[in-house]
Amino acid sequence: MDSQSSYTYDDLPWQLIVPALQGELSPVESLQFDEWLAASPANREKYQRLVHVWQEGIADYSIYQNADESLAWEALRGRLGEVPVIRTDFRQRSSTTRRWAVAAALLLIAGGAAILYNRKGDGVSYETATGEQKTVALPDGSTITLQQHTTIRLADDYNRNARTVVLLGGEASFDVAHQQQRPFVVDMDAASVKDIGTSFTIVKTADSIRLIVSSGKVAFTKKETGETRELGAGGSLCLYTATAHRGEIRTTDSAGLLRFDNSPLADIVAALQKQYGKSIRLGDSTLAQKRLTVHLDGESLEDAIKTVCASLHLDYSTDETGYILKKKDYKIK
Amino acid sequence: MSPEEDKIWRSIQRKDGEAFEHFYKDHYKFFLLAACKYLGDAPLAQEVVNDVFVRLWQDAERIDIQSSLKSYLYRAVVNRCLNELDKHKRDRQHFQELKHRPEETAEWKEMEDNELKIRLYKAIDDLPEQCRKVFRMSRFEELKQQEIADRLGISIKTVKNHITHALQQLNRVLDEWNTLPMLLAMVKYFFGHH
Repeated sequence: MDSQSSYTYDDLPWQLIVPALQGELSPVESLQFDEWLAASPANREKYQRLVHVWQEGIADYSIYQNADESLAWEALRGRLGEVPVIRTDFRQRSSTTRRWAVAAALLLIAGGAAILYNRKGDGVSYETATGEQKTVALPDGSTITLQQHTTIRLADDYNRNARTVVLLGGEASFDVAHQQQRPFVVDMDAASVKDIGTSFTIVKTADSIRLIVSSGKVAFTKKETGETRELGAGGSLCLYTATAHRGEIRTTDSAGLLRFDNSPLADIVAALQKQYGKSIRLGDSTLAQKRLTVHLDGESLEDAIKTVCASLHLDYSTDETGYILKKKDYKIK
Repeated sequence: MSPEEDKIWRSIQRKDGEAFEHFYKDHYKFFLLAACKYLGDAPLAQEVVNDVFVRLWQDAERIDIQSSLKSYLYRAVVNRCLNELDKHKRDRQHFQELKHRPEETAEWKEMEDNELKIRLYKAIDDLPEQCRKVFRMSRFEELKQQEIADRLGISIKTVKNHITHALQQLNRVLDEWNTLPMLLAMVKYFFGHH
C-alpha cells in the first residue's frame, strides 16, 4: 500500500501545469508558466512528457477500461475445448458453459462488458441473485451497479440511437457518462428518470420507486400525469405506486449521505468517523477550520480520506487506531 | 527468459490450464491494446489475441522460445495483426503505414510504450472514485473545469484538486518508469537475443 507516499509526491507548479494542459491559463498565469518553462530544460522536458501523456499516452483508455479479461478468457476457453487439458477444473466444464462463453464473447464484441446475462428477443437482461452484487460496464462508458434481486434490460441498439435502460425491479446505481445528443433514460412502468450528467440510485419495489441523486441533476417523470421534477445532488424522492398512496410523491430523508457543502474539515471528519467507526485525527488543530465541498457517498473510508486529502492538499498516515491527517510539505510553491 | 517466465512457460507446455489462465488474464489487456493499435477495432483485436493464445496452447510442446514469452507473444500478435490488415485491406492508408513489420528496435520501443500505457491506466483505475470521475470528464469528455463543477455539484477548486491529484499520479508513474533503465536493459537483452 503506497497511498501515503502517493500523497507526498509533489515538486512541480501544478497550479500552472493543470490549466496549461487544459488550455485554461489566464494571462497572468501564462506569464508565470512561461517563466517556469524558461527556467530550465528539465522543466520543459517534464512538461512535454505530461503533454504527451495527456494528449496521446492515455488516448485509448476507454478500450482498456471496457476490456474484460474474464469475458475474453471465457471466449478463449470455448475454443480450447478440442485439446486435452490436464487440470480437472477445466474438464468439468460442460458444453453448455462453452455456449455461454461464446455468447459472452459476442456481448463483448457488441461493445459491452458484463458478467452474466440472458438474451431475449428485445434486448439483453442482467439480473442478480440473493447476496449478489454486479457491475455492468456499458459501451458508452456508463456503469450500472446492481444490488441483489435486481433485473435490468438494455435494448439491442443501446448507444446507437438512444440510451434507455429498463429497470424491472430491485436496486441499481447509475454512473452516467453524459452525452448531450443521447440522454440516458431509466424507464420503469410508472415513471422514468432522465439524467443530466450524473450518478444516482433507484430502488424499485412492487409498490414504490425511490430515487437518490448523488451528483449532477436528473429529471424524474411520473408517466401517468407527465409531472416532471428536477432533482439535484443530495436530493431524493419516493413515488408510491401501490393503491393506498397511488401516485403520491414524497421527498424522502437523505440522512446518512456523506455530502458536504463548504463544511469545516472537523465536521467531515466527525461524519466519517461516525459512518465507518474508525478514528480520524488531525495532526494540527488549525486544519479543523479548512473548508471543503465534497460528496463521499459510496466511497470506501480510504478513498474518502484520499479525496479529502487531495482536495485540501493534505497528507495522511495510518496507525493502529486509524487515520491521521496532516499538512503537506511542499518543495516548490 | 526470466526464471519466473520460464516456470510459467514450462507449466503451459505441461498443459497446466490454471497457469495458462493466470498468464492470459494478467496479460490480456497488454496484448489487446497492442493489437488495437494496429487494427483500431477492439472486437477484432480480441479475436487476434485469442488466436495467438489458442495456437500457443495447442502447439506449446513444439514451440521453442528463445526470447521472453511476453515478447514472443507480442511479436506473434503483431504478425497476426499485419495478416489481418493484409486480408481485409480495409483501411488502405492505415495499412500502408503499418504493413511493414517494425524493425526490431522499433518493435521493442512499441512494446515498451505499451507497457507504460498499461501502468498509466492502472494508475487511473487506482484513483479515488470521485477523482477518477473528474479526471475522466476533463480528459475524455473534454469538459471545462467549471462545467465539471456544475455537473457534479462540487466547487471548481475541488475539480482542480482532483485533476491535479490525477496528473500527479500519472507523473509519478512516468518518474518510476524512467528509473527502470537497468531492468529494461535486461529485458531488452532477452528480447534482442533472438
